[in-house]
Amino acid sequence: MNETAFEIIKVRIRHKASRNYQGFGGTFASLVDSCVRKRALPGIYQDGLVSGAEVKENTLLVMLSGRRAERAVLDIMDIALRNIGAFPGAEGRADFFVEVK
Amino acid sequence: MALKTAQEYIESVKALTPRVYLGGKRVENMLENPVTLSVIRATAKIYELAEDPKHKEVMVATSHLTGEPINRNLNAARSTHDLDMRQEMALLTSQTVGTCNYRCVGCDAINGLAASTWEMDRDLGTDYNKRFNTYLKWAQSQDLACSGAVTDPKGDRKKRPSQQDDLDMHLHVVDKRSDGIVVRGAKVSQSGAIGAHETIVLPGGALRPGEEDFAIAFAMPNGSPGVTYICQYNAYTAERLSTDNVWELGNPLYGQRETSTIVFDDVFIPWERVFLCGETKYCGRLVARFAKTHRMNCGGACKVGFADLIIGGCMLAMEYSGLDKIPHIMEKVVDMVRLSETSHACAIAAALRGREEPVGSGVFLPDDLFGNAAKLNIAHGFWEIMKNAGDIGGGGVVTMPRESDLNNPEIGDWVKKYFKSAAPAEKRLRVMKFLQHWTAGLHGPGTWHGAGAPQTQRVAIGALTDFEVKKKMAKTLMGIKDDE
Repeated sequence: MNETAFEIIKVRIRHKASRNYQGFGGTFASLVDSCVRKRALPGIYQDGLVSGAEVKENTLLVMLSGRRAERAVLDIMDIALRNIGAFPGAEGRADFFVEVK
Repeated sequence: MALKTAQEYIESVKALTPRVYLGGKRVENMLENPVTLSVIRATAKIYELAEDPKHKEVMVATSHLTGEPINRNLNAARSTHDLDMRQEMALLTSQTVGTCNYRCVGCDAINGLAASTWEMDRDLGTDYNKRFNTYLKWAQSQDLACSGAVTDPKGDRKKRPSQQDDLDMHLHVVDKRSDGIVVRGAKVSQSGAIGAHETIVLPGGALRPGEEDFAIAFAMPNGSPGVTYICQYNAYTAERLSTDNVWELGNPLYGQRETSTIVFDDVFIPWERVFLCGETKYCGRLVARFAKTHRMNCGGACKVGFADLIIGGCMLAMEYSGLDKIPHIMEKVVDMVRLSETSHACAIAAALRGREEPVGSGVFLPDDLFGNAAKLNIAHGFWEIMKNAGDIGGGGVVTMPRESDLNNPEIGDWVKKYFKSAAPAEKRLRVMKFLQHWTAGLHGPGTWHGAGAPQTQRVAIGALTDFEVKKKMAKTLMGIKDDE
């Protein structure tokens, strides 16, 4: 179990765009579970959107099917993060990273 | 941020996409569907009340965790004053929206958990209370709307949870991992869960050794993967979906009480959000603590607020029909006041006779007997109030045409002509529809079963009452000696 109360999660899109979120402890684990076990993004009920996902230490690598602009991917991830209780605009060093390809 | 504005709440739920079904169809946007919108509107109004300085004492509390002002819906009571303001909040919110304060069950779940997690940590050396307080601090800092979920589908009621042919009849743990648990099952009759940010889940009742998998309490974001909401559907749902003018409905903006069945299809809950897992011995006490708090609020205050609205509607119906000076009708109104205020008196007594439970926890819970009496009293009284409202409103309450008929070029003039009385037809139809909403709507069974069906209060009152003491009093007065 994560010992800190809150988590800062940085979402990065192909190293070109990023946004920080703050969630309650366990938010990153929820996102990992969703992408790796359920193969779905929270709040987005589209089969096959997540074509692959793996976690390495504190980084979740998510591969989405199809080609999209960075902005569109950022918007998709925004829905996913908010639906598991994370809010955008967090300041400070990230505890976890989500790399989206 | 400690207190969200109504607009900030609406903006926050705009970004959420919980998996909601209503009338067999997926609701893609809760602010565009008129039924789910009524839940969002009602919840927004609860936020708005906390912004109003004149309601600050009732709607805003001070967090015992941070010292910051917080919405009272996220407060764990620390005094009898807190309890009293909690029940006053239930009254005020009902009077204002005429439907559920959809944060109410979550608030009472918070209070039950505040007491029971403290008790488990004391007895078992767990860290549930620390986790819970950390979570509560987070919820308070974000001013989250938390709904509460308690009631399992239960399946075959003759059988215990572990004896069911289908174990999913009670929400249960299907996997325990290093990072959290995975749960499966459902919770039914969940008021307003679709418009909340989070749901706080409690076990459905007392459990025994061997039923550890069903002993779970946790909080989850409402968009959690694997969670689906299947909304209630009834004639009022269909009416709201079909009308192009909400003002012809009985509760135009906030609607009937909207609930859903929440399905948990292998939902992951991180340990940080788990507040009880396997401790069967503590489930009954946790649910009882939730129940006594909820019975004070639901029975002794929320439904009293509804009664106030019904009584107001009856007074207007009398005035609009030219019957406002008729003594035997006023007697019925006075009876309605008696029934509702008796319940409110029980809620006030439950709050003011509240006490710290468990001792040392700092958590205050209402007096159990008065809380149960409040709910049992209103469960019966509400039918009586509805009966009187139907009586006073007259048959037109259920035989009236729709208000929009007033604008029909072919029949509008007749509707205006034959439905006018001491007031124009517009006003009469509006108040008849209002009374229809209350007397022929969902509120009778809702009040009967909400916070537990009356039999559960009878059981509680029976257990809480010392009948031997009462027998002894009677024997003393009559001069009956024990050896006779």
